[in-house]
Amino acid sequence: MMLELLPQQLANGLALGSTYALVALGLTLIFGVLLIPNFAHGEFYMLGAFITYALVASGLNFWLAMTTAVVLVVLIGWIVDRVVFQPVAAAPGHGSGLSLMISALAGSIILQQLATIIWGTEARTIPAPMTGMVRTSLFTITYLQITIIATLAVAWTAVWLVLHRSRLGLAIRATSQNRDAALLMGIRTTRVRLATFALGAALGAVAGALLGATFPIYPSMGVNPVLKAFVVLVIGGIGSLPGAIVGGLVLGMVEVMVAGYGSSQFQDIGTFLILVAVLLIRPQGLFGRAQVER
Amino acid sequence: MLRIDNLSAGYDRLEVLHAVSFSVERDAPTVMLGANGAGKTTLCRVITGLIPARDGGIFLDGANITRLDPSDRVKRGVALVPEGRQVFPDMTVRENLRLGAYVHGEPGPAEFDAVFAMFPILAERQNQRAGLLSGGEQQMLALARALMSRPRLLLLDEPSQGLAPKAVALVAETVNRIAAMGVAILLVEQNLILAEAVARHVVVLETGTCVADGSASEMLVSGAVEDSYLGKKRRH
Amino acid sequence: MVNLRPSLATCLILGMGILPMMGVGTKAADEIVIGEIHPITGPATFYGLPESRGVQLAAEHINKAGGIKVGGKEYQIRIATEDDQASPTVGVAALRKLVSADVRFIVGPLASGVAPALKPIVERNDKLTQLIDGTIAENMTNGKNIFRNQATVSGYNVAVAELFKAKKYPSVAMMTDRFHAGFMNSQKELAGNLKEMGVSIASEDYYKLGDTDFSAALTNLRGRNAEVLLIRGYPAEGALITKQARQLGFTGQVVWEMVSPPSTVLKNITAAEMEGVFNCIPPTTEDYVKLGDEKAMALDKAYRAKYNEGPGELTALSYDAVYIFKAAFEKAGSLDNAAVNKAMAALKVSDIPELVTRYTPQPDGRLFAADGQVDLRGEVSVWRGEAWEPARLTD
Repeated sequence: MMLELLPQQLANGLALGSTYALVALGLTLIFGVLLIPNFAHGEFYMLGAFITYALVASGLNFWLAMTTAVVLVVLIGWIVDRVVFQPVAAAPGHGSGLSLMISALAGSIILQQLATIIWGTEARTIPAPMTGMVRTSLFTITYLQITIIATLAVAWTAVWLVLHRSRLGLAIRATSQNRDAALLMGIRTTRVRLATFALGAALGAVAGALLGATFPIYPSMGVNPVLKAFVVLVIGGIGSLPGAIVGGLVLGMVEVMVAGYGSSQFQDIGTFLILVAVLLIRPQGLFGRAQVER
Repeated sequence: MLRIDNLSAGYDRLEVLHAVSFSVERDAPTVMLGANGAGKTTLCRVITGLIPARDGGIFLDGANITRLDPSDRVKRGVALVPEGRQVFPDMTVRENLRLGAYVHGEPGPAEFDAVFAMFPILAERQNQRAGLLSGGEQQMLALARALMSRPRLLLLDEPSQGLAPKAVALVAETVNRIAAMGVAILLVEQNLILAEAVARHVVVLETGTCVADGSASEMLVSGAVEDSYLGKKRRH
Repeated sequence: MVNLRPSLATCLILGMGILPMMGVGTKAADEIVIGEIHPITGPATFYGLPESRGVQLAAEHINKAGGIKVGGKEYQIRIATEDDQASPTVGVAALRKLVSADVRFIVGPLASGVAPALKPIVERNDKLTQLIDGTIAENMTNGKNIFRNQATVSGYNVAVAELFKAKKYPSVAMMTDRFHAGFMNSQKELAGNLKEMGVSIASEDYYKLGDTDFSAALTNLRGRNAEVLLIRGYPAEGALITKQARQLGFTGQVVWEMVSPPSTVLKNITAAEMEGVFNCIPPTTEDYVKLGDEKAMALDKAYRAKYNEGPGELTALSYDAVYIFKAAFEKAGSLDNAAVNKAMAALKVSDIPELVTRYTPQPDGRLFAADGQVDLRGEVSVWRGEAWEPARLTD
């Protein structure tokens, strides 16, 4: 039934999945390298959206506004790391996962409250930088959705190049694989930290700016996407960039198929079915490697 | 070369090293013996700066390096082959070696050739993921990686652990070659075969305190060390 | 040696505790205190603040015109404002605070979450009379001491039925916010009514506040030949669903069933994309102004003069609520709650000429039905240009 709609549903799934992947990319980077379950990533995303909105509203070109938002969110990311995470990591016990998670949640709430004070809670949408769509006989996709998919590809390539073609990237990968050994190589972890937070926050801001032109923005808009992004991480494998992308696309596809051929009420159930399936069949995620004891 | 002076260190509320003092000279490869939990690994971590010293000092050629961060110690020539090898498993052999030379910038072909000459197996495997190497090969990689940092002092933390006797012999041979290049050696070990093959100078650590310090000929040949401090540790 | 500091501090603390109580509680001999509970801060500020201001404005107008005459005595109204932040716990605390200050007449609350939390407290207290000027969920009133002058969802649905009858739409796809108690509870009934009219229900889909992707359900509309897409919920999602439906090639009629201030709508969708969308809700303050209603225009003018911006969607309801209380006091001839309750239940629409909102009288002319609920029917409006305007269904 309704098989003729399948191409459109696949396009829907691709568009939705690429939004998930875009948010997950920055999250997986920070989690993979610094072992921080950064719930505040949702707020990097939210701030990217709001700052872009504010600048566009004051007359700036969308892309310029987005670039400015990226720079500002990177600065905010550094402040969050300095104020929220570094003190916890430096505390006796070296910041257990739990204390890092709780401080991440605290950071997330504080940023939401700040945004509420500045912008209020009313939902709004960034005027889209482009309108119109590609209509084929099989499916329709908007230019903005194409832009989001393209941005995902560009972002992934850029991050890949930084990680695999630069000395800084070498240091970041070394730190993510074995922090102590990286220190023994003479890598300064502060620099790795700054770079990782910058990349992660920038990715969050880009996602926020683009998706804020598609979806309504409000101070708590980052909460759901960041939860979905954690699901993506589990599906794709924590710390794996290809895992974030494939995990995001798989999640988007599954959700759309469940909603399209099952019922929209079960869209979220699809999410958790695939989560459970991955945990049962391949607990380290599609692209994760089983943890080797060190 | 390396002088440890009344050094104390530990984790949180637990002090592991209590006022340890000894020296390592360039021409006398030093082996530190001690049972599990004696504080040998802690000592390696303090010397490299992974954990802070609580008291006392670490001097390299007379310069106080006690408060330097790990990166500056690497630059001054302190290298550690850590316990369990700690290679970067998802990176290639070549990338591991690049990281060894990290503080000096990108290594040139000559530097790669030098370590490949010493470790031919690594030349063959240079584009393989380090995690796929055998234990012995990983140990070679860990040694080669340390050499890439142009060390003046090489610390080795139980390099024999988990290795077959043949591989242990290869490690011993390699360490001796490195020592012959003029690198000061501090080998932390429980394995007496490796210790005997390398040591000119022996220090014994027991529950965080230096309990014996002497030349290898005095201490190892007599068999006093194994009886008193290590129990039945000699393995074949 | 006597240490004076603690006693001084005690005095200060006691003083601080007493002062506000005096402010609310001690009535000058000729004052009636009406408490109002609305979300002045928090997520629903946008609706709540204009309601609170409507109450203030009505009190001001009544006082200026000579106050309220009860039993031959003239009273001035004083408003005691409490902020419930649209949260049930804060709302209950606000009510208790008013009760402890001996406030016996309450206007509010707005939020569907707060009203059910207050209901058991008000029901058990015979020294309280409550007039709700918000929430469209069913069963919030009792006709004894809890009344409501806002519509219920069934009132909204009247307009939906009217629209379908006039336009003779053959089929409808419904998308409902599944966390909106009012819309969810009336979903079955509305679908049933439409079916009885011969409308085929192509699909019933549900989403929740904060959802962002509706593409799967909307894609399916194409295969189901729905003539109308009916969206029941809040405007941010309404705008998003409308946009995504158009992008996915839905060419039929979009109908909203939601209170949706144009300013909020336009923050989320362009005016061009909204053109021609129908909305089925009771007329808002702005609608009455557009209809040229004199009382509404006067309210609008007074509101703008005082607050420098236009009134909210629900301002007229809150404004009316104070006049309803006034009429009840005067009819009762007493400030005793039992008498006021009785008078309130017996009020006729014609007793209160100041009402801005156009209520449909009960068959016997009364304002409230036996359950304390007014009959306020949704009307169809249509988006033209930058805002809603009353739709003419006969063309």
